[in-house]
Amino acid sequence: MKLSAIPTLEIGLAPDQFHAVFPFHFAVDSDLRIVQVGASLARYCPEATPGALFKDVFQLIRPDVALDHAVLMENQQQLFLLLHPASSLRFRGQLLPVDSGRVLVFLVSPWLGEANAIARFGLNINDFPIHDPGLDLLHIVQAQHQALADSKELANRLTGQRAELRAANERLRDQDAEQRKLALIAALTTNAVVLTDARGRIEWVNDGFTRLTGYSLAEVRAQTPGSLLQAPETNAATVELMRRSVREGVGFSVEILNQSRLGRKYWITIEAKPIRNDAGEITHFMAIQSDITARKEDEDRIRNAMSELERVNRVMMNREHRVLELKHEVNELCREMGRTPLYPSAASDRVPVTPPPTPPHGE
Amino acid sequence: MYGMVNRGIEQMVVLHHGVEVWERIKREAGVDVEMFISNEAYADEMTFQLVAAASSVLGAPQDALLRAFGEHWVLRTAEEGYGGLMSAGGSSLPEFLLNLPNFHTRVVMVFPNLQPPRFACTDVGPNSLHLHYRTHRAGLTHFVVGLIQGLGKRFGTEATATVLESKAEGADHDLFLVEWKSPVA
Ligand code: HEM
Repeated sequence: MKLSAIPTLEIGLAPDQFHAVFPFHFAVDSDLRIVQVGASLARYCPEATPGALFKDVFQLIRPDVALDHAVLMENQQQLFLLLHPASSLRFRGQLLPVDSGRVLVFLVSPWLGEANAIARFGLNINDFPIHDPGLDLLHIVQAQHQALADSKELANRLTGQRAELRAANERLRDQDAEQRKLALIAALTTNAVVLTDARGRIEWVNDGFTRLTGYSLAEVRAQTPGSLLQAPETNAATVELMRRSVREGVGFSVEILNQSRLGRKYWITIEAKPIRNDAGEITHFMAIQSDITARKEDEDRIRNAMSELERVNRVMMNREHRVLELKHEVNELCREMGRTPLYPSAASDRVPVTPPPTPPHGE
Repeated sequence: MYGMVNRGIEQMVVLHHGVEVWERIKREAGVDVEMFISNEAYADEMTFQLVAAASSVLGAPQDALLRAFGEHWVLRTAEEGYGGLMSAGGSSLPEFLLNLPNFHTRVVMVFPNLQPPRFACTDVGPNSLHLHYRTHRAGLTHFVVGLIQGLGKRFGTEATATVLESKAEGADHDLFLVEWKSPVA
C-alpha cells in the first residue's frame, strides 16, 4: 500500500492492542514455522502453537500456490483463504510481511459463510473483534435465507390457491354447461316450464308457458302460478295438495284445470320437483306443465258415448220388460176368456219382478 | 415494523386458537395481507391494529397479550426465522443482552429502511443490569418485558424485567431493571 502524500500521524499498535484487534492472527518465520498466535485462534486451533509448521496446521486453499516463503511474498496482494482441517473452519484475510519479510503475519478471521456457523463450530461471539465484518455477514446470509424461505412459502401458498381456483373454475364450467343444457331443453320443449323460488313465487318461465297461458315472464314474475291460473271450477282438493307439497318441500304430480289469460279453460298435468343446493336446502321448485285438454276431451267424449249407450240400453230393457208384461196380460185375458194363451207360456215365466236398475247419477 | 413481528402475532394466535380466529382478527383489524414478508417494512399501525383486534377477539388485555407475544417471539418466531443468528447473539442471558445493541446496529446496516430500537446496558452486575430501550414507537414496553422473559427461558434462567422509568410517563426512554437467577450449571 502506498503512503499518501498527506502527512499522517505515526499510528502504530502496541502488542496488546494488536492482539485485541486481530485475535485470530498468527505469524510465521521464513521457514513457515509459527512464531506467534492470537488468543482466539489458539482456542479453536490448539495445534497452532509456536514451533509448529504452517503446513501441519493449515492448508492453503487460495492463492493456489506452493507453500514457500518467496512465493507467499510474491502473492501478498492476494486474498488468502486457509482451511484448518482439524475443525474444518476456514479463515480468510491478508498476508502482512513485517521486518522486511522475515516475519509473515496472517491477519485472518473465521469465514462464516452460513448462518448457523456460530453454533456449528461452537464459536463464541466474544472471540470476534467488533471491527470484524464476520458477524455482520451472518445477518446478511440469514436475511437471504429468510427471503428464500419466504418466497418458497409464498410460492407454496400461491400454488395451493391456484389449484383451488382451478377446481372452482371447473365446477363453475360444469355447472354452466349443465345450466345451458337445461336452458336449451326448457326453451325447446313444447311443455310449459316454471321455476319458482322455495316459497313458490315465479322466477322464470319458458316460451311454452307463454304459449299455454298467454302470460309473459314479465307479467308473472314473483306471483304464484295458482293465483294466476286457477279457475273457479278448479278442484279445491288438488289445489290444497299442491300447497301442502310446496310447504313441506316435496314434489307432486297432479292433473288440474286451469284457465288462460283470455279465459280459455284447459287441462294440464303438473310434475313439480324441489331443487336443492349443496347444503341440501331447497332453493327452487321446478314444474313442468303438459296440456292434456285433448286427452281430457277424448275421455269426455268416450264417457258421454258410454252413458248414452247405457241410456239406450236401459230404454230397450224397459221396453222389453213392458212387452213381456203385455204378453203376460194377454195370456191372462185369454185364459179368463177360456181360450188358449196367445204366447208360449215359457215366456211368461221370464217376466222380471223388478225393472233393471237405473244408474245412481241418473240420465 | 418488519414482517417478522406481525408474523409472530400470526403464529402465536394460530398456534393457540386456530386459523379461523386469526382470519377474524385480521378482518377486524382491517389487515388484508396474505403473508408477512420477514424483512419487509409494514406500517406500524398494522401491528397495533392487529394487537388491538386480537385483544378484543380473544378478550385479553393488550398488555398481557404483548408480554405473551414477546415470549412467543423469542422462543418460537425468532428461533425459527433467525435460527443461527439467535445462537450468534450470545450464550447466556447477560451476554445476549450486552450484544443486543450491536445486533440492532447490524439490522440498520443490512436493512437501511428499517428503524430498529436502540438498546444500551448499564449498571451490569452479576445478577442484574439496567436495559435502556429507545425507540420512536410507543406502546411496546410490555412487548419488551415479554421478550426478556422469553430470553430468560431460552437460557434456562428465570428472568424478570421491572420498569424503572417509562417514556409513557414522561421519562426520556424506557428503563428496565433486568434480574436473573444464576443459571444452573
Ligand atoms: C436475532 C435476533 C434479533 C434480530 C435480528 C432483531 C431485529 C429486529 C428488527 C429488524 C426490528 C424491526 C425494526 C423495524 O421494523 O423498524 C426489531 C425490532 C425490535 N426488536 Fe429486535 N431483533 C432481534 C432480537 C431482539 C431481542 C432478543 C429483543 C429483546 C429485547 C429485541 C427487541 C426489539 C424490539 C422491542 C423491537 C420493536 C421495535 C421498536 O421498539 O421500535 N429484538 N428487531
